[in-house]
Amino acid sequence: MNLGLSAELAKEKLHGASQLKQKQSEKAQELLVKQDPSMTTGIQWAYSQAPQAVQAQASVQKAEGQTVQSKPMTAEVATPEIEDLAVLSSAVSVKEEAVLAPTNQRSLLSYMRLGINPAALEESYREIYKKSKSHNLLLERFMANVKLGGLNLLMSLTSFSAEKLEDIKAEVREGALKEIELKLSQDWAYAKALIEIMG
Amino acid sequence: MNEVKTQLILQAERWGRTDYYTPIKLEEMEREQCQRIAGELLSEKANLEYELHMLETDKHEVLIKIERLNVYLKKATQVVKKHEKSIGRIIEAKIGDRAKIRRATSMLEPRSFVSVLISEN
Repeated sequence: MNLGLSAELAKEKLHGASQLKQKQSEKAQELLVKQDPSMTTGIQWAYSQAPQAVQAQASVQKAEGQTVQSKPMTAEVATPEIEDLAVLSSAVSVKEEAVLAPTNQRSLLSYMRLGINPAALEESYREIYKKSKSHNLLLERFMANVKLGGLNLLMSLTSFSAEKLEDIKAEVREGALKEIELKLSQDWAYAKALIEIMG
Repeated sequence: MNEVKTQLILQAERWGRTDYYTPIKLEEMEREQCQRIAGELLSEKANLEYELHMLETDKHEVLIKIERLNVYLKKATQVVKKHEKSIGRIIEAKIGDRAKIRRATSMLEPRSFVSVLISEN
């Protein structure tokens, strides 16, 4: 039984489709090769060879009917679907002075200083140091071991010297002792005396 | 009140001020505050007496207030005396019998003698 199936029509269709795709990719490649971005944007573009050589190679490959693929920077499989991607990925900016220099110049400390307000840090240090001497055992342990430890590390990384930290600690201690004295005499003793007298 | 006191003393100890808030110190604090309250009551009494004698107000009401203040003043002086006694008791408990100590210290101290030299002339 002959069903009249023939592969000729499919072959023609496939050939036409592949030619169309090839033409599209060639157009895109021409556009990329013709446009020398260094002339307009000032950015140097990555080529394994000189742009002229790449252009010449592309024309030779076009004549041979091969897919145009430049392979200097990335390793990609040149399937027909990602042809354009492969072409695009070859054009990578490598102007190192413009791209990498800022990350090299700025250290971790400079980044931290940008985000940290020293006055706020000092204030929080005072507060946490004061809480680290709390009568509440859990609060005291947490503040002394966790928060104050971390803050000490942070302050040592930033511009706070050990002498300044000691000064801050002494100031906080004096203030806290004065406050305790005041609370004991003014609040506790006064209230107790008032209760004793008034009943 | 005691809880507040213990918490504050504990906090002071955490800051390194140990053995500072002794019972005598606390008693002295209470006595000072009692004296302060007594002073405030006295000034209030003086104001009421002025009101009673100089201004034309309800005399009966002012007299009741003055009576109450007198009661409070009496109580305040009693409380002050009580604190003074307790301070004395604490001191005696620490140093022992005062009379005996006085006698012992007088024996230890060098006695001063007045010597008069009378010459034959």
